[in-house]
Amino acid sequence: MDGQPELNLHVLGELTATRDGAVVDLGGRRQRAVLAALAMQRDQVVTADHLVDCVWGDHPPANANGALQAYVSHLRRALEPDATARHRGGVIARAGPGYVLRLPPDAVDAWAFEAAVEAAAGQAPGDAVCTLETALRTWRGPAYADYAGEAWAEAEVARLTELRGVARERLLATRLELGEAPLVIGDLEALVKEDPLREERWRLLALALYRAHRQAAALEALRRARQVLADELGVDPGPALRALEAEVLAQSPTLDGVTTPSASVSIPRPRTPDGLVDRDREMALLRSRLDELTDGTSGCVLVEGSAGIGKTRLLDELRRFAVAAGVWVRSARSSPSEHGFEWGVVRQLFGAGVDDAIGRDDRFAALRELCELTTGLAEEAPFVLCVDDVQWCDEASLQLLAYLVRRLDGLPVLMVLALRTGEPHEADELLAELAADESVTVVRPAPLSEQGTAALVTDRLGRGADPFVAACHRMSSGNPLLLRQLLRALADQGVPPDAAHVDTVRAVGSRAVASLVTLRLRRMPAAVTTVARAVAVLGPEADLMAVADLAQHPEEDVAAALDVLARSEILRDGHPLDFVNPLVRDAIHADIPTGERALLHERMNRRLKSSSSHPGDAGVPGS
Amino acid sequence: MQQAEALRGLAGGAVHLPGDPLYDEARMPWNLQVDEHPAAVAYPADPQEVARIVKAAAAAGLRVAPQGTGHGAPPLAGRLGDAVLLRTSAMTGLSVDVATRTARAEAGVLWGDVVARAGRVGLAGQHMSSPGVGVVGSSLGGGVSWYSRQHGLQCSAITAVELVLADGTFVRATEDTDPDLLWAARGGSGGFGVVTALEFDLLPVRTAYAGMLAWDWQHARRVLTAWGEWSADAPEAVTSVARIFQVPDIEWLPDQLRGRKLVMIDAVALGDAEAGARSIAGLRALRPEVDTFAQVPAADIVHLQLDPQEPTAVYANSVLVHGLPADAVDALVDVAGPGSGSNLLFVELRQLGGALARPAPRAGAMDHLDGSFLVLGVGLDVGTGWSAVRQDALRILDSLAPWTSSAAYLSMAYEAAARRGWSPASYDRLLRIRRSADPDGLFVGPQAASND
Repeated sequence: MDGQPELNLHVLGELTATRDGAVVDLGGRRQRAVLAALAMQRDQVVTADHLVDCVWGDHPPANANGALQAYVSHLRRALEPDATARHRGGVIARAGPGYVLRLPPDAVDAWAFEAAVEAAAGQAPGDAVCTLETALRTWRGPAYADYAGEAWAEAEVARLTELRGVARERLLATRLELGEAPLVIGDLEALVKEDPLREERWRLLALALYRAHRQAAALEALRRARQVLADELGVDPGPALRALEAEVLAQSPTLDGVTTPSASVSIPRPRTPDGLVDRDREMALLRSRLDELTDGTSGCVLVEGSAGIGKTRLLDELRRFAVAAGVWVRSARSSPSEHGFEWGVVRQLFGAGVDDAIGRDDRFAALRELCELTTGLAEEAPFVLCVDDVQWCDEASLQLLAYLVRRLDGLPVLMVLALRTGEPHEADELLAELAADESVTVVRPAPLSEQGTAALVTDRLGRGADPFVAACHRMSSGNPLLLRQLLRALADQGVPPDAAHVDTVRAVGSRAVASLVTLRLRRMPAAVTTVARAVAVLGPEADLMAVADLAQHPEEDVAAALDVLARSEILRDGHPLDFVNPLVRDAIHADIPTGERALLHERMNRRLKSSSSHPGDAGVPGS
Repeated sequence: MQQAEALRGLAGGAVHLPGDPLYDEARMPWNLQVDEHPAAVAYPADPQEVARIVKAAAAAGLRVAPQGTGHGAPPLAGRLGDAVLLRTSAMTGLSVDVATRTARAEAGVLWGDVVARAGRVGLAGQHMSSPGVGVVGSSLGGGVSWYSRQHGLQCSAITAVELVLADGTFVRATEDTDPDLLWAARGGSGGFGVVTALEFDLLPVRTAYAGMLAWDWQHARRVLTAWGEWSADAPEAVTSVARIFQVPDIEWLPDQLRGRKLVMIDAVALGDAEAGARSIAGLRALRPEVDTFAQVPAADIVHLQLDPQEPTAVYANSVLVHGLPADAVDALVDVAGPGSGSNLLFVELRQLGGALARPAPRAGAMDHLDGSFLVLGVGLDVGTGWSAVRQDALRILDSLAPWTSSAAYLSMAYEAAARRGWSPASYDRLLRIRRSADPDGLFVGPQAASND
């Protein structure tokens, strides 16, 4: 502004210029090459000879200097149309044996980018993330895209590309520092894939995986790094990677990093899905049961409540505690489609070791043998038995659970079951019997309070204005699943939590949870949608390879899409692949267009047929 | 109202009928003075959902009234009984293209969103005085911004409009594909479809010299007379607003203003601090009690006027006037200043002219404003009832009758005849376009027909 037209040159992508926002016609490829060559040298004089080399290479025309002057003059007219011919030459100035570009440092995107990357190095992490993200967004394609492969452009293109790589590494490293480990894993995977020989990328990836409580994956990443470096370069990993490997193996506390971002972070940033609110009482109970278990006391807890109230989350937290305390956990999750699959849950809990027992025709004999097996396991070491969505449990497995409850006394086993209420199920009697057993403690998580809602709003969107928080609370009725999906939908679109956006909360939050999820999914990249649909069709059979097979995308892309879905709180973060809630899975499944659904099922059936000799795949339900 | 049952389940379930738990809060616009009971309130999230609502409403014999935040709700009063109130708040998509300096805002996007997003990349939008005002509604209605004297109306910055017509078809109108609808979107204030998104130019403005000067209202006559003279020669880079402000005692207002009766001048000067200070030197010479001028990021300017973000019941009315001679200031201060008995929250004189006075090069239903000041009276119900507030406002606006323009800025003059909003030729063309896009009158028009 300031009266002077603002001239901007864009070289991070194809070469373009704008004057007060309007695109300037820079002429043909050769004419633009003059401007490109000048921009590359920044404020250095570029000789006419060099410019001629850039424009024509080995085949200059007869009067190359004259032709060059014509190009310069055309460019000047385009860039400074208001100046008289005499006074043009402010931007492309004649200097000694050549020309020099005279533009302010922020007028050329590559220059501004370089300055931003340097500035970010001295900033607080929160500010640095903003600086780097903004700077990286100025890239619209490869630098000097029109002149890729030209010898004269090679060095500068390589330099800028390298600088971009460094900026992306630093951005992710800074976000990692801010405690966003689970959110950066997908991006780091992508970086590693692009250039597997850069050790810094492997180091960040392994560190992020470790901090996201995925130790095995962290070690696996380090192993892959070692392999790649050995195969491609014949060298061992450098000291940084070796040190990290040792620290991961030792679970060194130094790996946990700085968890308190500096107070100067002013822009709220979405954080990893970790906020558990209003569940102190429930957590205290589960913790004390776990403590008792390690002292050898049995227990049974039934977590009961409506869909989305947070039962699974409590089970997850319990598992985390147990793992931290060195206690074994055996987990299963039932689903409606597996309801008719006899012993399905028992198989999930105990694996192939129970094949003999459940093969018996006599149900009672089978129960007795399974009970003995459980006793044997418990005598080796105490363990936790977790079954989620027990309302869909197959009848045989449910019989075992009921049988075990009455025989747990004196055994170091903690059984924790989650039961969705308000759902008709066939095994009502058995479940009622279970719930009534005096050794069973029933926990009913309450809807979130307004304070709890406020905490989650702060977590996802930044500190919320009172009417905004109240609207979130009202729209979700304190249901954590609804609230999280609502907040994600708002965060996806960058909605600030202020009083002016209360109607946005109403508009988005009064949708049914199913349509909220499908709306969010529709706004994501097509590949992510396809992957989510494939996971929904596969159900409990979903794993990376199966999803890649169904979606017909490379595994790397599927892995990245899965990470996007996990950080969007559509999939659970962790293994096995599963949706945050069966409601979410049903919603996505129901939203698949008919043709696509037929195709996905066809591919799945083919997959099953080709592996039908595999006993583990028997009884997979269609849906 | 049972015919609205047919809409249930549309928009992913975000449809609220009378008796539903969310109906009452969903039907209330930002301006709480409007208390309508539409047949249904729907919150579609994309053009497909809009089309389904529009078709279902037509099939059920209902009309459709699009609404964003409801800042401009008053003209809809009394006309929604057989209508589906289609609120656009779920359409929140916003993108800013740095290279082309344009923004694409869906119909639920607010000016605060645009300003924040554009500000991050050194751009500015031609926003209204409150960050909580919707982009689409205010742009369709013209859009007088802090940059208008240099850059014209916000509606002239529109380069594309996306909308769903009465028959449910989706149209993207640009200069090349549907110049009539694009022309109508530029200040035609709606009535031709449900606008789902707009694309418009942004300005390369990173910072500006902006702030507020304030005096006790005892000085109203002296300050406004001097400001009127100053404004006649002010550069186009400066846009200013003078107010006689009876500031309520509300906690979120700055202490130095709370509960005071003041005469205030807000202004924004494009350019650097030195030029800005030069341009307002004449106003500073009037020795204000408060002076907040500084070079500020463009994104902060949207907060300059301290408008309330939460829904509020307000009465507003305005006239366009030609010139502000000392006689006019006298007349105005007599009825709005100390001792006048006026209870209005504020009377605002918005400086027009510059690019606003010249036809915009891109043309459009509204391409300039015929007046050198927009005089706006805004009142809250202070216990005297709305008709007393209205009388207060009309008395003040009438005091300027000798200088009043025959044109009206309908976005802030809800009682004016619709044809005063446009030139006769533009008004005819606008009606033709509305008729062709909506032959059966499905959409509740932006102005009541009885005002015509």
